[in-house]
Amino acid sequence: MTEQNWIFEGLQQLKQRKINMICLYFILFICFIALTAQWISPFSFEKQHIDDILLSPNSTYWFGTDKLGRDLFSRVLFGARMSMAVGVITAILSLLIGGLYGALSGWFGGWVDSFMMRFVDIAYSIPSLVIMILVKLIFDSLDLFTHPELRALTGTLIALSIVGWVSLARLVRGQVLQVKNLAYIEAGRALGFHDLYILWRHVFPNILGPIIVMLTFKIPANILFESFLSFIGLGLQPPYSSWGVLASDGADTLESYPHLILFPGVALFLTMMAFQLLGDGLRDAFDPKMKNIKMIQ
Amino acid sequence: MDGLVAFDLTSKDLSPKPALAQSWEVSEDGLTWTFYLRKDVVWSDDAPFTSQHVLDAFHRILNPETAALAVDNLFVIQNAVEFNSGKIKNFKHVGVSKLDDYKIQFRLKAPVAFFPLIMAHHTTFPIRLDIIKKYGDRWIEPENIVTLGPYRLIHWHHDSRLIFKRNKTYWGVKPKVPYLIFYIVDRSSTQLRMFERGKIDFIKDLPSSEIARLSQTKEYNRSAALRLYYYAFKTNKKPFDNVYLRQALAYAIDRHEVVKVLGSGQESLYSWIPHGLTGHSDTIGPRFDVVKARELFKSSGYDSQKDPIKITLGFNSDEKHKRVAENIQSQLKRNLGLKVELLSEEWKTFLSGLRGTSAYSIFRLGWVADYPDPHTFMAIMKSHAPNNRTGWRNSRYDKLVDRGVAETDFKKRIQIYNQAQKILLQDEAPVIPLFTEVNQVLVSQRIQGFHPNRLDLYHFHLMEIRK
Amino acid sequence: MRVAVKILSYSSVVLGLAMILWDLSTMYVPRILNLSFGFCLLGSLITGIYQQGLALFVFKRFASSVVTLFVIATATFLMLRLLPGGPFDDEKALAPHIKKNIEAKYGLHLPLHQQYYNHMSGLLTGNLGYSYKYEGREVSDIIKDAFPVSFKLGFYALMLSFLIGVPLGLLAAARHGTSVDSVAMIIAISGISLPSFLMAPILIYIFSFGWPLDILAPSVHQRLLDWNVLLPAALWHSPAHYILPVLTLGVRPSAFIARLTRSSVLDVIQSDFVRTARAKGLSEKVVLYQHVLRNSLIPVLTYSGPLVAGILSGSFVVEIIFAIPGIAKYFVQGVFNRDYPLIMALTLLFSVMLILANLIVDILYKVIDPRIEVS
Repeated sequence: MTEQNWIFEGLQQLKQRKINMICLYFILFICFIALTAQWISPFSFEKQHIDDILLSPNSTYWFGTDKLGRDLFSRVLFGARMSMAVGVITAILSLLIGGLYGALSGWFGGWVDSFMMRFVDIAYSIPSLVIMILVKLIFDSLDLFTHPELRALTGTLIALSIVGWVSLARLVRGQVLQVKNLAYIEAGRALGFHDLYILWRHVFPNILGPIIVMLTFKIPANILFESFLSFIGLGLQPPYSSWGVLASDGADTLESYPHLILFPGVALFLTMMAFQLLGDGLRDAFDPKMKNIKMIQ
Repeated sequence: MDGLVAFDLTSKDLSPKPALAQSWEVSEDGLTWTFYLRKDVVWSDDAPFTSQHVLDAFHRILNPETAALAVDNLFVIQNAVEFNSGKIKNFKHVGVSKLDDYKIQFRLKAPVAFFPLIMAHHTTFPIRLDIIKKYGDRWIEPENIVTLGPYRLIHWHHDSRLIFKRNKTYWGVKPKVPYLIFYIVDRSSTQLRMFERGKIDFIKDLPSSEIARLSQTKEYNRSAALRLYYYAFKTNKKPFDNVYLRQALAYAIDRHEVVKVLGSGQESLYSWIPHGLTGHSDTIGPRFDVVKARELFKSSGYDSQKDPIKITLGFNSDEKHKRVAENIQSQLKRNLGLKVELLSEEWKTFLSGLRGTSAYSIFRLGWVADYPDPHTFMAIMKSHAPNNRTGWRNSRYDKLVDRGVAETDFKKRIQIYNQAQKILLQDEAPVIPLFTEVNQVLVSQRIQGFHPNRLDLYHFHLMEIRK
Repeated sequence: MRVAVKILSYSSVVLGLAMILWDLSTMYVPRILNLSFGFCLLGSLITGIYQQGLALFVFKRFASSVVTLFVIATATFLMLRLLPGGPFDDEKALAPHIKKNIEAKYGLHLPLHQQYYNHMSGLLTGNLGYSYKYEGREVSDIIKDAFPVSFKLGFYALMLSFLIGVPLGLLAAARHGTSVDSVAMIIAISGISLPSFLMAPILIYIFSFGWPLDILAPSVHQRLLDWNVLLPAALWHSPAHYILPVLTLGVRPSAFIARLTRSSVLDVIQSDFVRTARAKGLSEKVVLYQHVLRNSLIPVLTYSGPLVAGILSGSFVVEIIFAIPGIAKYFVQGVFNRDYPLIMALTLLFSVMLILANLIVDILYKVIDPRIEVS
């Protein structure tokens, strides 16, 4: 069975599981909202209607308003954009950095591998939140971009990626180690193909499965970490807010204004759940033997 | 702990009343103050209180090795700042001396009409050097510390809880409440939860979204505070090196709208001195006037159509500052057509940004009065004051402020401060005062004897629990 | 030797249980109990390591950990200097000479390499310096006060996650395919998907304020209030204060462990050697306890490393919400205050805990299955 067929088979299997397809559609739906939030929300996410503060859901403001009179429905839609951006972009960055690092480390092996993995071990020894807090503060002050959304996100993205690449590096390295001694790789080498070419065309497609599964679990983990940072006070700058910011702001007033925490909280909850279930399904579908993949970062 | 002087919380203007000092007098030239101390005060370890303990306090706090932070109020004393900066090595030259065991004398650099108010600040409270020497850094731990106040510390779970017990040997009114427990809780929502569960009697930090609801309850107490909230310009770089532009913004902001957005009963402020202090005026300072603002804007030579000005408004990330900034942003857009960019930074990052090359051209700051006298506010904007971060210097203003400190005649003082405020707010406008803060506190119904006051002081020894 | 290991390990377990019982009733553990437990634990670890022939392994780990900690200390030192804003910047700006006084007091005026040298040599001698923010308090004192608090919180959360997670996972696996399985897994996934800062206010609302009882059954609610039975909403002053924070912190790890247990049990049950054991005619009980359990533990053990890390991270939020004076709360405050000595000491402390956790996991790995190659 060639590599491409194997992925195809996996996806076929996935299609058969109803629950996982529901999750997939849900996530695609959220992505759609994330991309079109600016156009489909009834109000601007940052406009304050000063006379309509802290209203419960009604016909004008479907989810109610917050303490500055901003429409919560629009803010939740925009929050999808911020949360998904954080989750997905960080996952991709982690993949690029960690994947490359792990691939090179595993491919070259020997002392290069030991040396590179030492760094990974050291990185594993510091609790993620510690690094994230410090890195975020440093990068926020550097002011790298002028586009407001990007500037708001930069510190968080870098902080989460710096923590996130580590587990991906380990995974990719492990996979590369497993695969690199297989027969057809040896054959490729014997035939004189360049190392990088072999990596790209033969090794990479084979290890795609576990990588995709891990990414599916990483995205909700990233969203969660970002909301932790928001809770501590290092989240996105106002008026930008992810679901994490919205939910942690609302958490303070659960008793008096439950709608503030209810809607972003439910959105966060359902999305996280969808990713978890999808990840499970992907893992089962691609290869039952892959159950050893750690389910979280 | 007590100091030589205390505040009378029941009086409207927080006048000073005798505490450890039973009386005081000032010399004709206003430079020498003599305090006569009570003879019947003992510390909680039964040692008698003498003027030596006051002298020791000043020596220690002004000693550069102690590296105390809040000493600038004491720089009115002769040679105090010289000793603190190391220029003078011998404390004997500083203008504090004890005449006998119960008389202490201060010599000032220049007359300060309100000097007794400074003696009510906790930086002047007496200390016991023998205790500090004996226990070193652990002298503040409950098993070592001594006090002559109404309560003493008997338990301290650091960063969590403090417990105080009534001091039997207290010289003043015997406290009726035997124990005080203080909890250290960061989040205002957690504080509120504990209050609503009936576990605590006082909370000062109210979550802003709850204020509308809480202000209707019986437990809610509000009083104007001696705290100023203002916006300042960087006057040494574009665009706010242009005085017309600054004035234009001062006239373009309706404080009432800002206060409305905050919704917690803050009071709009147009003068530099907040409500309740001598020199506060409702007529001084640029009032909200869109027409005038636009005129001034034209005079400034900037034209937002042809040459958009880049204005960045900086504030430290806090919900309240966010709200104010967003409102100001929308007002400036509405009234002057200016596009203002907001920049919210974490606290320390923000502070470091105020020095040197910061990205912001306008920024927010606040000031809490050290003592209930207008000088504490006027002094901020002197040319070389460390808290003047605008880069604005004006020697006429400085001279007026110096004259105001020494002036004892009430009417003359107001005149001087009016002139100074006119320069500050009208002619030059390096700053725009926005509002006077409020102290908000929830007090449980079972507490009697609580007096809301501008300094946000709590005299627990004068309170009791209703039966 | 084997006997010594057995005695010491059993005594540590007994003493450990005694400590827990003592702590849960009075929140205070007598010193002698602490010391004897420490002695037995250390003894059992050392003799166990020696007996299993792992001494070299552990020694090599120690050596590399020291290097790791050195790198972390240096990296933290540099990162802190990169943070904008200094420890003594505040709204009321300081006159320049006052700033100089303070910098002289804390050695901040010295050139960077000199500060670095002082810092590192201080670490080696155990002198962690004075906090910049908490005047006069030594960092080591702060840690002495705060560490037991966080440790208890984390430890109880860990225990809770195993006590809930493993049985739940076993139950789901045993009833695989039925509605029990589905319900259990839905509960588990919900636990993972709900962040602690959302769960905490809900738990407080229910168990501390008594919602929805105050609406549905006001008289019952009033009686609960009168008896003072409802749980405290914050702080850490009695064993009753443990309940909500530990619950909040422990739910997510429980959920992970439940899922992991279930899937690994299912794996093992369907695997070859179990079928072989059954075919050999071993009783169901033997099969279950000896083979299935032992082998399904391994993935759970793998997870313990990240589990501890997750509990460490989770404690940040829990300590802040419940106003618990633990090291995570001090760390967050320290960062905001730019309290360099405190931040560095705590970062190293966290790292030490993680390294130890990973080491213990690896040792247990080797004990359970010597064939496993530990990375």
